[in-house]
Amino acid sequence: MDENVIMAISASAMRAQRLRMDVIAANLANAETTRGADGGPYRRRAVVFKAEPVAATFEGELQARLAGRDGPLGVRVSAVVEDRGEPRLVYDPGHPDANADGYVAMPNVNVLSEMVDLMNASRAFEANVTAVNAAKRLMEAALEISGR
Amino acid sequence: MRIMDAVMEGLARALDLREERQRVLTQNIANADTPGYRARELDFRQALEAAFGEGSGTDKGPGAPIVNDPDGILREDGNTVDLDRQMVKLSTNAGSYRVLSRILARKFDMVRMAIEESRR
Repeated sequence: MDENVIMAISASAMRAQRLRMDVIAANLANAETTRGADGGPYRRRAVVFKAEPVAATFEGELQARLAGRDGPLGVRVSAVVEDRGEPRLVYDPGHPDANADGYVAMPNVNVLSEMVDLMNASRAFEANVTAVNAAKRLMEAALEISGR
Repeated sequence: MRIMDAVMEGLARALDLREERQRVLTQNIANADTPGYRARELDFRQALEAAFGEGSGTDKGPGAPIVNDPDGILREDGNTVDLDRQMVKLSTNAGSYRVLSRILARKFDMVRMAIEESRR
């Protein structure tokens, strides 16, 4: 077991959180988009996180199995899924995308909950940065053993 | 005559365990938002009992087994990681590692001193 594995775990999580932030940014940017890629209003997207073995070298895998424990688990975005929630109907007869009754189908994006999600993602990202720094301090401490 | 005495070997083993725990805690933090992920923890108690059970203090027996964190709180998405608690554990664990590595460095200083003094 070495610190590189610790770094790889944190790196995978930072990558995943960054992708999550990208998706949230897209949701916020398209909160009012009435013409999405499929013609209808934009649909909110969400990431799906999955725990995944990280740095699965043969040696690492063998060591873990021999010791009877699971190998190091990082995290990966396994899918970006569309929220199948119903679009919000807003009464705006002057809008070019309004239906016969004067209602416009707006994206099912709740700006408030997206902002909360963004804060959570950013906090999770920072937690992983802290873990990387802690791993760095461990390496420095290990170097000091033979130092001088 | 051995360079590494029993204390030093014990320290080296403790450093290994601290590093392994750092890995497990980092993994918990990385998976703080993964649905269904169970927080893990090293079972030091079981490792201690195993070490004493075998009789010899310097015997490099199996490391501490990894178990589900008994302090975990189950959230509705099946995840049991408490991020704040994990951060506290991470920093105390890194602190313990530093302490152990300092002590080991001092032990090596003493060995070096013994070698150098004999040359006079």
